[in-house]
Amino acid sequence: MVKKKLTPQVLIIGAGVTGTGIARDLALRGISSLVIEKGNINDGASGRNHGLLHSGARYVGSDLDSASECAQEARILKRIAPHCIEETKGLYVAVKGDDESYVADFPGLCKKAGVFCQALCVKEALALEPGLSKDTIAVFRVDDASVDPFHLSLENMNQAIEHGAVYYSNCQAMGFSLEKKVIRKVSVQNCLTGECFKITPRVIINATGAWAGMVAQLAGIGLDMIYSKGSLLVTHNRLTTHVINRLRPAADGDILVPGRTVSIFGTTSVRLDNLESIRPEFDEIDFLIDQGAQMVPGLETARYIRAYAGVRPLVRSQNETRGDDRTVSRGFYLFDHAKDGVDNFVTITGGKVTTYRLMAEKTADLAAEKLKISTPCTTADTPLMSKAPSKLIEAGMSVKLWAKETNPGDYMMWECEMVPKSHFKELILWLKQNRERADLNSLRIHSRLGKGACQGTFCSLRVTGFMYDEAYINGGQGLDNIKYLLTERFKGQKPVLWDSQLAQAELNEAMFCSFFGLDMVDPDRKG
Amino acid sequence: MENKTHLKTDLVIIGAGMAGLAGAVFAANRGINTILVGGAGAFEYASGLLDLWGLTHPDNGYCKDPWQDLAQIQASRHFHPFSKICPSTIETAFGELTDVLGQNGLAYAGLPRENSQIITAFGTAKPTFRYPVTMAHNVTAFRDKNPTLLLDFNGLREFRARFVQQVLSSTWQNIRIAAIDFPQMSGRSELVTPLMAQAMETEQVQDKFAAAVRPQLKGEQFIGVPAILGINTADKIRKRLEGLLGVNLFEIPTSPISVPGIRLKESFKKALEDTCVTRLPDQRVLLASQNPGKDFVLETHTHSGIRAARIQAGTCLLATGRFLSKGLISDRKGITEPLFNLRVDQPTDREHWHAASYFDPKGHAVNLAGITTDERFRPLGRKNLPAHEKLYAAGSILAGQDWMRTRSGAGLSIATAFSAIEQIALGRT
Repeated sequence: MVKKKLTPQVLIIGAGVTGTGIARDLALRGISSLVIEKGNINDGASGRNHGLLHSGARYVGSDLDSASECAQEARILKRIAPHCIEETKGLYVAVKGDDESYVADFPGLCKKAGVFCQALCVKEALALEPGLSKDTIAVFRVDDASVDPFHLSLENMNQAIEHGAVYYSNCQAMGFSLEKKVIRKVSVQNCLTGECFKITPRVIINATGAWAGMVAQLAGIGLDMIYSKGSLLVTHNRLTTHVINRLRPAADGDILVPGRTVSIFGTTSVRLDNLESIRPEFDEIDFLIDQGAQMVPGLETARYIRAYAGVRPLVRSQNETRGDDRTVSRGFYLFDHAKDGVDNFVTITGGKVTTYRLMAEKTADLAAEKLKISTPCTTADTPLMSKAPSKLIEAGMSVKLWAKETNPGDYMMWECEMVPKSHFKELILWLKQNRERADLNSLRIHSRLGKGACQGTFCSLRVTGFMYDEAYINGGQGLDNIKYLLTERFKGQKPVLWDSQLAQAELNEAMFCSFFGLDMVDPDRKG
Repeated sequence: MENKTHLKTDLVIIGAGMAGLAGAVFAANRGINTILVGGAGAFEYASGLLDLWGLTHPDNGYCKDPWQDLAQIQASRHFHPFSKICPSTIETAFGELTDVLGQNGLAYAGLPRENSQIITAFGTAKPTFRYPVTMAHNVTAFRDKNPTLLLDFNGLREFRARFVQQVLSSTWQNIRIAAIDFPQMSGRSELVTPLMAQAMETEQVQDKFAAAVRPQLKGEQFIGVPAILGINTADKIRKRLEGLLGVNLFEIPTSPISVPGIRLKESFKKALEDTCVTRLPDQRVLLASQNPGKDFVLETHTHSGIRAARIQAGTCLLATGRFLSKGLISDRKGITEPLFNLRVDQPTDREHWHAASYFDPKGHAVNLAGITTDERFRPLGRKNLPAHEKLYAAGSILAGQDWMRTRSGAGLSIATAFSAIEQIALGRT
């Protein structure tokens, strides 16, 4: 950690898509910011959702404002960040037994909200998507797309850093020093080293998603949070070309989103009392598959590579504590805590990936106002494209470039995602220059390492060998890195280990435990 | 459509992994007419090491004397398959099998009563009972911490010498590393160990290899290389290279695709040539049935799905392995045995298959699931009676063992296949 006086104009707590989006927004206005994150980028709901860029159609039945807002923001993101988005289009599909009056109302509601929607005949739809149920009775085409929230957040943060922002991962806000209705200092602890330090910002933004209540509590402010857990499944292969939505009022197990080589399917809505254990339950997974198979029968027999859960933060009795007219939508919550007696503190929570830019804009507007700066927001017109290596995060991109660059000493680091050594080297160098660490886990965050079918079996081994070769790591670090990666990945694999994926797990265990003996490697061993 | 082959035999062995092939060798030695059905793809994932029992309990670390543990398992009447076998029988089985492999180009070494520690491509020390003699100096160099040169090959991803050196650096300091181009492959950007091993079979490549290595030596008496010293005559190649270089040369086992695993498969293949065992390596049994008092009838298919043979056999040894080889199959509801629909002992539901943590020292419950047998290795049915009078099971499909965590894979297969074949031989006379 750099020992210097930490006096950013704005401190942003939380590096999800909103927090990083705010950092970018402020940076483009010339306002300095420091982002602290207790884990890593997108550890919360930003990294644990469908990766769906909503056309808005999902909300036409319940919330026309949200629907229009989604449609508008999706158009902006497609314009400024096309490399993070795959324009898959979406289908809304009703099957036998679904509410036919909802089907009948759907096109009219879309029109009202300004959401594009086109009726398809069932035969046409089945030709487009052969994986749809034979019991399909109605299909509409919409402008849904698939977005990579990791890529969005990385680009947000990287672009912000290029404009002077600073990012500290693994740093948690521990306390606020309040003086005359103003937070003067924020105490922060580095969760890896235990080191404590203080930050003296002028404005503090709480962008911690589901954790917003806990951070607000540091200032003595109560936010009555409701935690709604949603579980999702990742398939081994991509099942459809379009986003497939169940044409019914929003419910469980009704969205299937293709993302690169996989599909993501979900979700559920389960109330949690706390955030200690956010994981998919086995019965949720069985329920999801049973529901989804009604719409896409292939979900019943699909091979799943992992499952995960995220928490939607909701705030109770919002009408009383709700922010002012800046909050144009009911989709997210922006609180100016001046109302609670803390002048330089703001909380933003809720919302969805699709509208993150707007949320960031509204939050940055409020922060700028507190700083008495009137520079307007430019995020809707500035391309969201940093100079950081992003070849490794765009599946298929890496191999396309590799085929063009013919270098005889170059080879594929891992097959399932087809990533060559040279691109890896570039990423590691960048991480070393711009980040604190370049280990397997930070590589995982900044690339697709361990995200393919073998879930890290072969790639972790080769990448580790490469990192030793280049002297990026020494001693027993490589084994600790592999152990950590396998331990982390296993959490998501455990609920989907049956059939082929159980066989894959058996091979992994035979290799990593029986052969290499990693179960006997002491992670605290001095390297 | 009925032009497929009809075959009749005394014994059919289903599965050609370690248990099936060891069973076939034991059957051949006893003159039992046998058909062995199944490919041996999994050998490419096998280390080539013959483990017996390497880890008593994670808290106790590696097990030095496996026989002490095996005697305890037998005395405890534990659920483990080893509880049904006398340790001296296991010793006999190992001896018989390693003799046969030795006669067929794959000599094994090891201490009479103890495990040895082999350095892997991760720089970890793996306890094992019998190892290919090409790895003999791996054991001694590590034991004595001799000054050693580890060789890297440019473009080989499965083995990086600095990885091994760094992991070992706290206990074994005098390891030096050097990188060379593999002879006649310097233009390639990617090397794989089986192709290198294949190339090593020619003296021309061996000479070039020695010439490339010689200038790298700085007085070391030991050289370690990934396991690439040939496929069929590895020990001969090692000795020739040792002669050329004047040093001790040893192999380090690598991750798949594993050359020592391929050698094992080749040695088995040779051992079974011109014996009373017929191999059907390109077929897979899809259907098995038996009417009480009658022979087993098996339908086999080729890998492309064409019906190949109908086999009639008086006795059957099921050695189909676990999930990877589809000896056991699983879905969201449970684990089943697909050929005979045998009883599979397993946790009550999927939620209990795995521990919360991947490296939980207790292992995962799903790995203890499998087929429970009687004392003679006959699978038990629902009423705890043998499911079929003449059906036997051996190897990793058996319940009550976790071969991965106890480092007992080969030993389990060899010992249970031996016991089953002994029973079958007894029943024949």
